[in-house]
Amino acid sequence: MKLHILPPSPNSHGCIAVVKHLKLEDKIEIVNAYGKTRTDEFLAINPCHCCPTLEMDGDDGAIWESNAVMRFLCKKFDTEGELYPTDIVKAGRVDMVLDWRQTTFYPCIPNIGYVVFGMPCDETKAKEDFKKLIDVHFKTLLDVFLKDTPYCFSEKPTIADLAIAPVITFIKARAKFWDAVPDAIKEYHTRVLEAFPGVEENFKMLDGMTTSYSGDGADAEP
Amino acid sequence: MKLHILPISANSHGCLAVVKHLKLDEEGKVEIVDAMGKTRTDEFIAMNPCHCCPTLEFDDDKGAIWESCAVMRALCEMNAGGEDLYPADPITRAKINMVMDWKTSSIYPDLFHLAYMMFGVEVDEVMAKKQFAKLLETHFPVLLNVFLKDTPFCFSDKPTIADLAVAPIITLLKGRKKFYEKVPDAVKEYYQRVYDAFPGANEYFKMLDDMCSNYDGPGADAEP
Repeated sequence: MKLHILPPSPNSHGCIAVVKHLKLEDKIEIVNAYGKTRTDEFLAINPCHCCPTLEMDGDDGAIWESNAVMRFLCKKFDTEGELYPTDIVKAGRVDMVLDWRQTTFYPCIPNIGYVVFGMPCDETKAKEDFKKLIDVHFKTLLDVFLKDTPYCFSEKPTIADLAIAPVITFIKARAKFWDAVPDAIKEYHTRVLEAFPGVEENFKMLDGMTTSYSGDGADAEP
Repeated sequence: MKLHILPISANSHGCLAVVKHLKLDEEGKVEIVDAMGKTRTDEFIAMNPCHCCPTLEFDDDKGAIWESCAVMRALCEMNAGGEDLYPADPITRAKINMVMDWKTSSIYPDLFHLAYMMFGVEVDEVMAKKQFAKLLETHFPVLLNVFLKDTPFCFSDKPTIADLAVAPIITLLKGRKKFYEKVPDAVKEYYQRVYDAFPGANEYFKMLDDMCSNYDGPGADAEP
């Protein structure tokens, strides 16, 4: 199989972490797809031209959407249920957090973080979205998902944590926003990233891009 | 278990369809609870601090989960016959999961300005036009030419929870008649095909359909 990724993208980081953690490098080739997602070859694999994309063996085609890729990799290879529990209730909670990340948490990130990719961002919305993170979503993360455990509903990190933590790095693009992020969130972010040393290179790539960003919005007040 | 729902909400309809299809309410395994007006009570918030629906309350003090796709997955995993709606084969399941994630990451966010005025939320009419253009130019082609390319349902000959995540939200477009006229016939046919496959949830589908079809407030008569 081939896992097509964009090296600095947190949407790719979770999938890379699963491959490295489960030691699947002999089964899954990690391919840097930067600059290639609009080629005819890539579009034939994934007409939605996005990453991560998991190209499966034989005629099984490909799947994309980072959470779907992580779930598949775990279902196929994580027989112990280490990163994606086999217990149905526990898996239900991980699924809920993965979906919350999609429906609720991640939409607050683009206007804050996509400045580092040179994309136009709405500064007013960036402030509004950050306020939502501070007033609501970080509290859900800390007081609900991390209420009794160091990772989301779990003593050990799962793919739910891999969906959330790498994304938090985006906020570093705006130093004054980052100053206002609760310490408990920063500690969680560090805890998850440190649990997956195999992805350090990719985590550092995004960290470097965000902390050294000095373009429009870098100095904005939250 | 208890499934707390909002009867009119498309996000609850998929879960309701699963319960009815697997006869979980008839067999006493899942009690459907109308949570309209109750999601901010202390009791509900103790169960779900995010005060949203659908919420699946487990038995035996095992707590609750929310997020519609997570609930549908759990209902299928925990009950006999669930494989019908959420295939066990890893590759097929991965494709179903991908469609559910696409629903939350891509198509559903582009319904906000098109539909939420029906729930009394302020929307931006310029954004509504832009979002509809994206549906026509990007999301509907992905649905028809990728997910439904070779099969009548998303990557499947039979409807699954991926279809239950996608089809009910298409009803929301009926709130703007001139927009709905421009929805491709193939999308309308797919949407009807999914609805017809889950007659047990008809009552709920009809509630939303009636609300949207009869809506005549701001934006109802807008041009796409």
